[in-house]
Amino acid sequence: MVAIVTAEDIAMSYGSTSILKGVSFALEAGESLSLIGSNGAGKSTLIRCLLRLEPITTGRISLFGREIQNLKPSELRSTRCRVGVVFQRHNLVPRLSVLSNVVHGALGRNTQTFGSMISGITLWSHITAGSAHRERAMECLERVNLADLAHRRADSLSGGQSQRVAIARALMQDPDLIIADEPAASLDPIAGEEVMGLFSELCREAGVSLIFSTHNISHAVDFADRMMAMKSGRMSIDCPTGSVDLKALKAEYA
Amino acid sequence: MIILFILVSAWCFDGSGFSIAQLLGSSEYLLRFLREAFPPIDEHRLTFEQFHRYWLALIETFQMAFAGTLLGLVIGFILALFASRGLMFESRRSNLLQWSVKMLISLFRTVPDLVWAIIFVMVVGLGAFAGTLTIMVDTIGFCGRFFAEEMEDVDRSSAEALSASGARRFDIVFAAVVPAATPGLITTSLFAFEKAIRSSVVLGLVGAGGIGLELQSLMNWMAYDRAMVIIGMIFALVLVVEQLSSYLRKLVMKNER
Repeated sequence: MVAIVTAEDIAMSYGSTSILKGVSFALEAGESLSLIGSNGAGKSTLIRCLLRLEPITTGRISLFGREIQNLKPSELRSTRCRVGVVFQRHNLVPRLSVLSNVVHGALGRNTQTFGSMISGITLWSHITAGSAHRERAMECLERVNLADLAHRRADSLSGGQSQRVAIARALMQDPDLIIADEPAASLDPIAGEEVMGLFSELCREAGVSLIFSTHNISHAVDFADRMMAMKSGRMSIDCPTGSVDLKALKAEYA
Repeated sequence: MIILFILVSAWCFDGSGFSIAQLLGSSEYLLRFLREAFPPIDEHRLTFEQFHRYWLALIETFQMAFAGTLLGLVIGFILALFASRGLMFESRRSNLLQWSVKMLISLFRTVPDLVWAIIFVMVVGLGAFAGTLTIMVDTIGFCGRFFAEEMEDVDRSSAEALSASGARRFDIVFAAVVPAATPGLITTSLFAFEKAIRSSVVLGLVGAGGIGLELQSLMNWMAYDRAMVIIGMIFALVLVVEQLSSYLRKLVMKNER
């Protein structure tokens, strides 16, 4: 198997506070990985570093075999485009329709040529998007069971619905990897379960790899093949979810 | 603190030459103005031709304000994109550009409209075109600043989500930031238009077209009755535009729940 994400001994600090202190791991294609740890352990920072939303101080991160620190902006974009991202909240543009938000998932694709720069303009909203993109966006919404809300405004949705729209937008990218930073943290338990179930089901179906962070240890165990625990900027556990001692883990991290 | 405030106030009133005695003492001039101004409409003095001319001047004022605002909004919006922190470029790379655009906008805003009007009258000559250019520059100054602030204030997390999915900055601005800022952009534009209507009225005083020119000449000829007609017309125009604009603003806000 080929590793699609590799992190080698990465460190990261804000000023004099060091957040990540030598984290290494690799993720293989099709694998799903959960990330647990208390607040401030560095989960979100690690995720942001993987996407180069934050710069790392030392170490190396590769996505799909390309080292992301040295990519030119256009190369970075085409690499990011292969990664669907879902944050904890505020993923969507509030005043646009659900469908427009899903169409935005295609913005990252082929922005290198002049022609595609022009076609990018049509993707600002579903009204201007071509019928091919609109149909594809509707398909993605159907896969998260929200096709009937396509023309609602994004800020009229519940928390669970917005997260599902964010997932649909990630699917619109046709990603090889989905990264989610506490996608269920702002949801009630039932909606959270639903969103996590959707993630792991879609990833299994499409063979997409998944990295997600969570505070919910059952989610971490149930919806991933492998889990990692972080503690003050270091990786403390890295093991298959099958072999985890749930009780000991809960005592330590919940 | 309060004592300081009182002292500063006293100092300023002293310097402003404010005098109740003077105001009362000159009341005869005010009375004369009012006596001659009323009744403003007297068929012997105000002919239909004259009224028609004022009416056209009023229309010209409106046209100047509208066209100038529209041009100013477009240019102001484009400048605001570059004046807004970290919007079009990485903030650290574009500091100089952002700063210079901001300075340009400040220059447009801080120089008073009458001064711009005098400059444009000098450049393109007397008439409505000079007024339109003045309104445009004034609107760029006003909207450039507030548009930029509104786009800075937008919650950037949805923009970041798009950036994380590989979208270009230019697309992110128009797909995420501008839609989120739309209500603010619209209300600012309406305020800009109200402001333009008010200032287009006085631009005529320096020869930059519109009804102010008529008012100016009537005042010079001491034709206070007809001047009063014009003041009434200006009052009506400003009132109508302000009412309309506040109605539209409420409409926008209602859509925001």
